[in-house]
Amino acid sequence: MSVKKIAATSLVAGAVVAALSIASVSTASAAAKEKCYGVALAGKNDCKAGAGTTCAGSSKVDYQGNAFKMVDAGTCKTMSLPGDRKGSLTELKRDVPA
Amino acid sequence: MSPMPDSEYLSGGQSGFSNALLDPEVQTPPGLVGPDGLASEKRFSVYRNNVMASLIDAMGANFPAIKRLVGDEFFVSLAREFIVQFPPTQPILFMYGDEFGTFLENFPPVADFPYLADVARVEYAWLQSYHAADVSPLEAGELGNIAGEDVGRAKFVPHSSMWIFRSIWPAASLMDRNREGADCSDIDLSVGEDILITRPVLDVQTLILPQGGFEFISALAGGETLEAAAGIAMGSVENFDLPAQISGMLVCGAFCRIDL
Repeated sequence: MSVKKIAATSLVAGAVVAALSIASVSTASAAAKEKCYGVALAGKNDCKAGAGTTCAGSSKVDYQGNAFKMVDAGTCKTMSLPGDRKGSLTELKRDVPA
Repeated sequence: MSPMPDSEYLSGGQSGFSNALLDPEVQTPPGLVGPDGLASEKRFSVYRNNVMASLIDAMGANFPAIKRLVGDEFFVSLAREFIVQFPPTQPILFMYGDEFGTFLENFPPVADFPYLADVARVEYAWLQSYHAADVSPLEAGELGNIAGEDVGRAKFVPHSSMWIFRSIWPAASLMDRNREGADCSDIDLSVGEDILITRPVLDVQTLILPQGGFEFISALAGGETLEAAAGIAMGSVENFDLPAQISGMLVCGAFCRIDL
């Protein structure tokens, strides 16, 4: 093994150690989101799935109980909304248009 | 009992029918008659209109940022022209529009807006990433488990949802702002962007890569070893920050597995 090769190997190994010690690296799922029902304004619900799907931006009323928005994981149930509403990780029966 | 039409007759009839759908100049296909035995021109026109209108809607759903950039009215004309030139070749609507970027690049009426083509390419990639197979992204621990003397030989398998692209335009910023309905007046059109799209869990992420990130991640995705990719990136930019780039690629979920 040449000196140059050893230098490159240890440089990369050192970089990996340094990379893994950066606090923000747990994994990609650290930045996870959760589906939060009953918090989206009318027409602003998520599911931007493109043509052939029917869900995105289809909610008719504010805070519609069966429409979701992606929010940072762990924050959904703590959201307080007008009229004493809360977000939910499952579909809600409230504010559903007839 | 009348004999089955032979397949040549059938496929000829089908292509005549579908060609007539997208070209109003073509006559109502022969054999398409009402109860009175006369050609059903009006009924065929209704069907022809429905086909075009639903494909225009599909294009709008797949390219919301382009729609906002050019305006609803112009988008309809643009989509109509695209649909005639590039009719769908498969039945899945979210996969429709792969050639929209190429079309915009060569369509004279939008020649003054050369960034549209790349915005369309990013929007299309976004949608394919959204619909890509669910795969767990690479865990940081997997890289940590490799012995120091071996880690340079590691090769990284790209995640099913990842897409990397170099644009001479700020295509990702233009897409994001327009999808949110936000103001774009402060976007500097002279600044290009190296764009990485991933979907590690449920949400598609559009990232603008730091200097050298495009060279580094492209090299890894192309099958280079970690050491070779680092060498390529360091040779292309000054002060390439290897630790930050490695942690960045783990956090964004660009890769799903290591091959040694």
